[in-house]
Amino acid sequence: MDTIELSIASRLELVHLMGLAVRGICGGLPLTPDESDAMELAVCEAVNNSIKHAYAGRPDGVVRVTLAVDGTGLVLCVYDKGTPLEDRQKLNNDLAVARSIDELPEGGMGLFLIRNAADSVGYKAGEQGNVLVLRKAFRKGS
Amino acid sequence: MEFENTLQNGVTVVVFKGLRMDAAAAPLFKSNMVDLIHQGAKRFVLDLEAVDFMDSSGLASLMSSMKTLGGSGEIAVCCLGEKVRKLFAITRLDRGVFRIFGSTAEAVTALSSTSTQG
Repeated sequence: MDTIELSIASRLELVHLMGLAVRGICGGLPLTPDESDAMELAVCEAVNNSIKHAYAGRPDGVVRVTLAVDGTGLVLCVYDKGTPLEDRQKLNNDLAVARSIDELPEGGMGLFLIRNAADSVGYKAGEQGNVLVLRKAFRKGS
Repeated sequence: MEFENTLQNGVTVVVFKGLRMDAAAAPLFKSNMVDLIHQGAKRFVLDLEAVDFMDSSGLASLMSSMKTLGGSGEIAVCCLGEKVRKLFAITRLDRGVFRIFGSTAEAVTALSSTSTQG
């Protein structure tokens, strides 16, 4: 697999650089423009989560992203060394259609958007830190 | 981050001037909206023509503003680019939560004809 590694300090104002880099890389892969846009959004959401939740907004952490590509698809991993995600069920939650203002979700949409972009999403927490893994297959004719 | 707030026919038009309505920009947008709501504004049109990228934090700041209004007003959005329009569709926020208009004028006309004042 061909692999590239990118990293930023855990500061929200830097996340757009990661998004732009990932979109640029995706633009050179057999993905549609919509798929590349979705991957940019997904990586921004994942890095935002690392900064806001794993590092609780502290700016002294590092968020690392790797992209590995082979002939069949892309594996994108987002690593941090902050507090692990406690409620893994959040990775699977769907978004309901809000019927009133009180039902409007203010959280959980990020993980929904990550799942929407990828074919599969995994998460692992261990002594070396946390990693969110997104897999995206190349479609025929992409 | 810059916003341009104007009053048109009793409707507050907020033009978001940044390219990205994301986690870095959302707190400033939310603060701008809360200030306007506390000043008495109730009907809003948010012009997102300049926005090329929006994430869930941008959407959350919009929904939080709606909650601050507490059901006594409305926030409509207009001039969405294709990527932002798709985001509203994917998150189902285009299904009755936010009215979406093609132009500021169209949105202001629609909101100024509603009964809510302010």
